[in-house]
Amino acid sequence: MKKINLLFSFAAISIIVTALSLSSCNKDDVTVDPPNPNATEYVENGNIVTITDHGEGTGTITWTKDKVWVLNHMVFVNEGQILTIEAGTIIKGKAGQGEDASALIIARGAQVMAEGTASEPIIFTAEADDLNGSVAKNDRGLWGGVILLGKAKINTVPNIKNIEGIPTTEPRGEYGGDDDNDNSGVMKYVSIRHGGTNIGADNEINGLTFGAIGDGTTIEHIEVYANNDDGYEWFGGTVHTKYMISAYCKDDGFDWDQGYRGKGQFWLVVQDPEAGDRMGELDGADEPENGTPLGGGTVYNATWIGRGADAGKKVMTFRANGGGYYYNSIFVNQSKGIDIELKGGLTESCSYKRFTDGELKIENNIFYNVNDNTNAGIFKISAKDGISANDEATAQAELDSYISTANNTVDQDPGLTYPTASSSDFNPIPTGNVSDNMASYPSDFINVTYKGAFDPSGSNWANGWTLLFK
Amino acid sequence: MNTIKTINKLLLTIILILISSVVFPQATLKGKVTDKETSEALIGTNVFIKGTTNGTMADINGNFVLTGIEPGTYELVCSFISYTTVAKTFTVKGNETLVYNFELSSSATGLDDVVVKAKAITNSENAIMSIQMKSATSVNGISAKEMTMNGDKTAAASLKRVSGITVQDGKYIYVRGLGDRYSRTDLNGAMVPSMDPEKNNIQLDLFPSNIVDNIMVYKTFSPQLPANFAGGYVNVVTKKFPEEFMLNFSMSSSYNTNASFNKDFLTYEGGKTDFLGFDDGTRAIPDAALGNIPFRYQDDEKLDNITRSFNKVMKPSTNYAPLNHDFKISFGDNKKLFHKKLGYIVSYSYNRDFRYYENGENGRYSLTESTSSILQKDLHYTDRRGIDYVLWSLMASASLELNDNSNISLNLIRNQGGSSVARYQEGWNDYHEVNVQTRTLQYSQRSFSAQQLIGDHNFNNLQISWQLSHSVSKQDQPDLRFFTNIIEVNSDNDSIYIIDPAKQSVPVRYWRFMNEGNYDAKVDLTQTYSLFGNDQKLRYGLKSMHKNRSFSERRFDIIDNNNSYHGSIHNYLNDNNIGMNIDEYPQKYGVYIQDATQLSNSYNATQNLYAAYLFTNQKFGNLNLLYGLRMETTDIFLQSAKQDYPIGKLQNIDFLPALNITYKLAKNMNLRAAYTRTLARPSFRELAPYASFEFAGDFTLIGNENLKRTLIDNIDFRYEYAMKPGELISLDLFYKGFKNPIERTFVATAGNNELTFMNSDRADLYGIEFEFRKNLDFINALRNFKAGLNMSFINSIVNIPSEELNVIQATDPSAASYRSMYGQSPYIINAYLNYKNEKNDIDARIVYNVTGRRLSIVVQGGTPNVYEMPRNSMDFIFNKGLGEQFTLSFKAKNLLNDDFVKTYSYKGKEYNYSSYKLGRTFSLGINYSF
Repeated sequence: MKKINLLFSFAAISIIVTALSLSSCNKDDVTVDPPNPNATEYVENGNIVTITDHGEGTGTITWTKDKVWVLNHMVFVNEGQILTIEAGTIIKGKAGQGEDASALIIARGAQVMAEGTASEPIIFTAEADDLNGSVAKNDRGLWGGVILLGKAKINTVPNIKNIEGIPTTEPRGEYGGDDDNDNSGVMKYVSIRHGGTNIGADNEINGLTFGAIGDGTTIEHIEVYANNDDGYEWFGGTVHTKYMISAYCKDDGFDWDQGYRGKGQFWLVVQDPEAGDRMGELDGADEPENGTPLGGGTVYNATWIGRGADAGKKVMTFRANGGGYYYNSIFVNQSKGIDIELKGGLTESCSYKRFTDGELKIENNIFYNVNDNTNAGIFKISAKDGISANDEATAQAELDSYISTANNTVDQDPGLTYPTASSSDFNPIPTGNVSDNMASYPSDFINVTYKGAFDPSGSNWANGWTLLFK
Repeated sequence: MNTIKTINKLLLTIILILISSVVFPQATLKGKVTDKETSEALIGTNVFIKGTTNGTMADINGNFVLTGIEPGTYELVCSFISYTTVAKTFTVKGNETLVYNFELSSSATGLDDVVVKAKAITNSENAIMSIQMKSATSVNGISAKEMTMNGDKTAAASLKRVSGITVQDGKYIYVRGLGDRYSRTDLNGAMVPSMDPEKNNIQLDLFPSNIVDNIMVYKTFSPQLPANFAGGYVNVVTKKFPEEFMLNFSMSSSYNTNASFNKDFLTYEGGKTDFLGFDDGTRAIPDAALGNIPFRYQDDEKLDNITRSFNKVMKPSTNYAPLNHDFKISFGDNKKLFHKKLGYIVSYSYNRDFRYYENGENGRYSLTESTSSILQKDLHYTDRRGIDYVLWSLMASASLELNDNSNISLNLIRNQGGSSVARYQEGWNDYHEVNVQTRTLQYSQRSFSAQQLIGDHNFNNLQISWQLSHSVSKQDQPDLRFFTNIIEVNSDNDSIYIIDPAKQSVPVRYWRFMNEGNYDAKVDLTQTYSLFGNDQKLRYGLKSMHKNRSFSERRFDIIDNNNSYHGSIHNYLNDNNIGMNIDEYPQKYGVYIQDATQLSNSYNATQNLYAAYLFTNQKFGNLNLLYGLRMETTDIFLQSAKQDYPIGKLQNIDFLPALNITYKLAKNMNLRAAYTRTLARPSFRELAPYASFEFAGDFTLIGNENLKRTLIDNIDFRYEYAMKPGELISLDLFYKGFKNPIERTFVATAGNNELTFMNSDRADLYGIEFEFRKNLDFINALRNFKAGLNMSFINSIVNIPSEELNVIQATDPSAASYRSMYGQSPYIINAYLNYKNEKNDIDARIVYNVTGRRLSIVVQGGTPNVYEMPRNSMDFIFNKGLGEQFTLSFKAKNLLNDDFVKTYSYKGKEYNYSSYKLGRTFSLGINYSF
């Protein structure tokens, strides 16, 4: 009897449960659609617009200069969307790190049209910054940064990667492809300040990150000021850049990797005397190191000012099969010079091999107050584990012989003023002679008659729109 | 959606109908067999009615039941190897239940007490072996006596002596090379919660050997066992009450050659209750930091208060470590309560160990391209680490005999473990070209408590046992402190200290909390029926397992924009270097705290499993057949505290058949074959699509919400021969085919090292296992010696996921497309040699263990993976009886003092990932028993 009762009650419960679930389905039919959980929020409060992206990105939209646009966490411009930023617009990033870090990310297939002017630059800064000295000049890591992602070639396997720091579960963090002429838009007269927070996996974000950006993109007149990592970092791609400033950043000034093949002219680095690492970190590839296309940018007219003789830092390092070309540039005030990595052996893929293949050149430059102002003190082979002393000596001799004909000067003062721990006086405009022995310019570059990023007799292109020259 | 529930209800109904089914009208005979001297249950004793085929063996509690006895007068014979056989005449009149308990004497009773004690030891080992022989499936086990004899302090230490078992990190078992996911551990047959957020299984080092009665390892599945294992199912059975009053007390002290009295031992200032295995609040998140933490410029005054509120100790200090010590006490008795027999046992143990090494090394290497002749060094650090490890356990167990046919018992267990770790690493980071100094202070407290109510009821031809179990585990890591910096020497020979977030982590404080609760209920029924003139068994039952977990973490970063670290952590964290207190304020702002908590990493998870099974055990002459089916339903749900994040889900209904065949070749010789299907579920951590970053390590670990469960086909053969009491030779062959095995893999597209879990299409594992135990008395000079040896040789192949393989082959085109399963060793060897001199009351043993190299870390890209290398370990244990009540013991552990090594190997050369030595330990102890 009991058994039967039990059976009955199970049957009864089943019927009730089924009935309830059916009736709740009916209710669903008449209710209105719930709000889209992925829609991006633009919340206005006075002239402040706070943007929270739940997946749909900024949309094709213009951010106007009459408002302050606040990035709440990571804000993406999704594929197919175009974000236009008016000249004179201020964009601020909220404080926070990891998944709470604020950043503007232009995804693959999206475009940003950020055309500031010398008198009306576009400024990215921390929410706490009133642009009138409320934030100390050396404050770093108060928000994230700007990340451009595109479809140009990178030399990793697989050839589409997730940009560092953004979770791999976020498909809008992908970069890489086959289109070296890809166009991610325009950035002109843009100043990016006080950023570089940890955006995930203990990765500090660079001021401006280029992930596979193609040479259809226009990038010129950019300042990264007091960033908590590199000023700029390229992961592959072909984008050309001019008039670029990396000031007082925590790590390297210019960093390239994964097969970057762009061109650069008028690049300024000024390092904080108390912080900062190399001025150039010039890697070829990471996984695998012999990945193709081989990396290496071409740079004319850089002016790089280091931390001084005691800081133990290098001008630049070529490594991980990295190559590249530097001409008509000025490198001053750093305790160590240029390292070229020798790894595996004299004929193995490494930066030294790139050099012997003629894919790494440093010519017609001025070095001053770098190490002991001698070629031997500046140009060094950095031999890794497993390299015999004999091979190291052979490589160094090969490099020495090249340098002796490379038209660099190492003991003539170009006459720049460097900041020191006790004085922030700074002037990158040469008072010395910087016009002898110039390398000629290929067609893609502006033909000037001086070395370094600044014309000793012309106007300063960085005046007016940068924090550095404020 | 409701299918699972409906099926459960249906099954419950069927079972209820079965329970109340008709009972056959025949007499039943039952009872218990114990050792006359020690009152221990004599597991596996033969009980049979002379002149008939009606016989059985005593179960793990010494109980036996014979059914289907027709009226008449019989002689009941009770025999057990190395005991005197006892016979008893009885008469059956009709439909009734008769009870006869037997106390067997050792056949060596002519000698003095000492001998009896020695016999008891052998017999416990024999008992386990007897179960092994008579079980319908392949089983191995280890008894409490053997654990004592091997000098093992915890269940984890003992289990590595069992054939085919390895123990990882001193806590987690691998059976036949299969780890956490494929080997499962229960406590008295009930599921218990994990204490590690990354694991499914329990940590066996939290179970001291003195609360353990025996541990059984089931290597083949039968339907009454939980189906989620492939390597083995381990059941830790806690101690039973004694037949008469007993009191046992023991204590020992150990000297470790690395740690004891070493003035360089690394430690740090903890709380006042560290010696009890938990923190007194010293490591709690400061009250000021519990709420919302303003970012810089939001409320600097409040921020300063919060920054100042953190404990300033962030580096290890040195101090003498005392001797390691432990003590144990247990007592029990058997009383009458309202004319019912009530037994109880209470047991407490305390253990404190100090472990230390100072010449450890850590290395990271990478393969840059396949033509490279060497692996490139990325970093090399020296490593010093001190660990202060506390473990205590309290167990109380009581059992009430309601009547001759029924008893109910209650087990209460509370275990607490605490470990305080202080570590200092220093060395060259070749990638960043800097010298690095890193300090880690870490505290972990684990607690486990369980309440279990167990009932056994015997009716004429029906046995019912049921169990209700609730357990709770907690693992907290309060205030992990991590402080790393770069040190450089400038041209003036001054040291320059740098905290560089672009290269390393900033200083970090980290808290982690995990709670897990389990509810486990089951009922098992055994019905006896007659077929082909034999008693056959029908077994069926139900089980429900519910588990929930909450996991949360907090992280605080210490930020400094002024490069104000100059080598003294004390000055760096000093109040006058914090926020607005610095001299340069307001031009500059000092050190401050930033909330670095990632809410998405915190999650809640539940798992509901229901199971029903039905199988029969039939005998046809020398053939014993076990066949049946188990159904298990799975329902796992997991959600991040951050609502935008994906949900982890897994729902399945599985039918799992089992067929075990045992053919008795001779009285002491079996041939077995089995085919079974089992499964493996992903752990919560594996299914949680959230990232956790090992800031002290090298990678981010991210779960995969799309994981499927693994189905495993198992085929087993075993030959076993028990030559004499305590002597055994056995040989196993096995094969396992995995469908959708879950393997670790790296994320090919990740910009940083990132590991995740994926279902590989399939994996295959096969192996051979050999076990041998033999008295050496056939050589007169060796008559006091006994030798034991077990060896397993295993091979497994799993295909590397294609995304990962493409990356590996981009660097190394010749790299293989498969590898061995994660954590699987190609061989495991255990051996012992025992010496026993009954005249002098001496029992001594030398024990050896080695495990082949096994995959330990899946490395990003084409760089070879890291393997844990074989390590020879040898222990010596010497016990000497002093009169009737005292035993003196001496142990020398880790005699070979081999390094613990993990390496990359490349082109025949080994590159150490980590390496350290823990030193030898010598201990002296005394045991008193009443």
